[in-house]
Amino acid sequence: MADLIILVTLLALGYGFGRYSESTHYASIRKREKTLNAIPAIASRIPPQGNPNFDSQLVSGSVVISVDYFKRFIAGLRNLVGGRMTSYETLLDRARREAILRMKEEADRLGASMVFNLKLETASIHKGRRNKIGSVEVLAYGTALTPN
Amino acid sequence: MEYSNPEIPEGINTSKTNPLKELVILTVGVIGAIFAIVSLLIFVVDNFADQIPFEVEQNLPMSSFTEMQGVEPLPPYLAKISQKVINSFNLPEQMHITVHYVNDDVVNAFATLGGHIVLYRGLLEKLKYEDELSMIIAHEVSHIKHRHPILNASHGAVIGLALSFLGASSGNSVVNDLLGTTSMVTLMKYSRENEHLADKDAIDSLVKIYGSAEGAIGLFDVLNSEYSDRGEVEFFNTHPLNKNRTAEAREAINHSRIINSVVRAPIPSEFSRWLKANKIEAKETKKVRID
Amino acid sequence: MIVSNLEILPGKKITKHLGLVQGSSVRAKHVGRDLMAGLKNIFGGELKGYTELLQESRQEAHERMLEQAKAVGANAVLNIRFSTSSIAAGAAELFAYGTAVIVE
Repeated sequence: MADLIILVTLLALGYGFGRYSESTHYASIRKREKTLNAIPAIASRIPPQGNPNFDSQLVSGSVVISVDYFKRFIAGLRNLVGGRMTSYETLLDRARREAILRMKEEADRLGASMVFNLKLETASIHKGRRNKIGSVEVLAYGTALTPN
Repeated sequence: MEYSNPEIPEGINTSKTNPLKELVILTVGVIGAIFAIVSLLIFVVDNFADQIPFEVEQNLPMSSFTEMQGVEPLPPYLAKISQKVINSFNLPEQMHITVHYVNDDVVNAFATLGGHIVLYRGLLEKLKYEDELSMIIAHEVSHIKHRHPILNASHGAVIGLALSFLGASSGNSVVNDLLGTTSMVTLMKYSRENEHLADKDAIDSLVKIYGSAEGAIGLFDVLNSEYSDRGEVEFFNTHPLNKNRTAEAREAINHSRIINSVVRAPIPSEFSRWLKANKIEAKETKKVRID
Repeated sequence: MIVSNLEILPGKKITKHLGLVQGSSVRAKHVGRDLMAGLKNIFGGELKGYTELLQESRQEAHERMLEQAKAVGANAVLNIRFSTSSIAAGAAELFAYGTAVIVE
């Protein structure tokens, strides 16, 4: 009985805090995406030819975020049943956008006008054997082009 | 060439589902499925384990009792009553029952693989009448008659295996706890049914021997004073609550219209004295061991 | 919608780059499939259940990427890449991304 109460409490805490942090994170992502919209990130390998000439430099941004207790619980159940794991969708979406933003912020500091050949790497971080699921790391990197 | 970064609408890479709704559906679904699977496994295993001959069960390595701590030779009084009770059951010929006495304070008795019944001094001390002792023995004999020990062992093995497969798939310790609890509760329900059955058989046996089932009610009173029902939920117990067992015994008595005015034989004072001496002896050996 | 992992389409001129578009999908298979895959792991051979799982996920990731491209008004996605990561035991994420462009 005590176990059940602890479980429900943890689920409620996870749900409450998880939702709160997710919505604040999304709000911040949207705000920064608007301001950094001036620096396009392009996944193409061929930089623009001709004038003006550019200085190029590698820029990167990475982030590790974790899923809350509530979502982890749902994911565990979903793993038995199969199907779309909604728990991890927002996690990955947030992680990628955050990593790209951090990369763009670095490009912004360099005064770059765009980032070329953007690439993304995702890794899942395993914490011990019993709690396999948890956090992902996303790394975004590309070449910042600064007009000179 | 033009380069721009237009805003991409939200929600393409995420699903719009209500997480609480998903939680409820998944939890209810998984618990229901586990309940169904465990019930099915119990049913299937029962049909297989029933076919295991009793001789095979007796020869299992864990069916040996010689090494258990505190097992002592059976006192003649216990042997006499046990024989009386065993005779009242129509056991198959090859089903051989061995009763053991353990000099320990534990208030318990149990039946296990190979037709062994273990009685603890702790429980025997609390009894006042012979028919209460017979009730205990009859209850355990009924378990053996219905092959409950081998069935329970088989359930444990099969369900444990199934859970370990499921656990590996979920990869989440909390979900695994939920699976474990669900299957445990299902097994408990099954166990309570078995206890009902054993109680019923034991009452029949008492009626056959004494013409009265007072011993059952006496025994449940003893158990109740030792393990109170208070704060217990039957749902989370392997045995039915004492009050329910008493009520059932009463009903069985009323149903068969037994006259309860039979004179009940008390436990002989000689045997009580012997138990007391045993208790002192056990204390002393314990003391020596600590020293 | 033209989809290609080339960076330049032969004979076509890119008039506008619209940046990165991405699609992702995380899916799991039910326990039965996990169990079969576990057994298959002993004997070797194709894990049909997981091939199917990854294909379905890749398909969905691809579609989501195209949806983003459509939303920004592109008529082609070039230089697309796929990446796979295992988020949890028995669950996989498929990720597709590329550059949304307008070609003549």
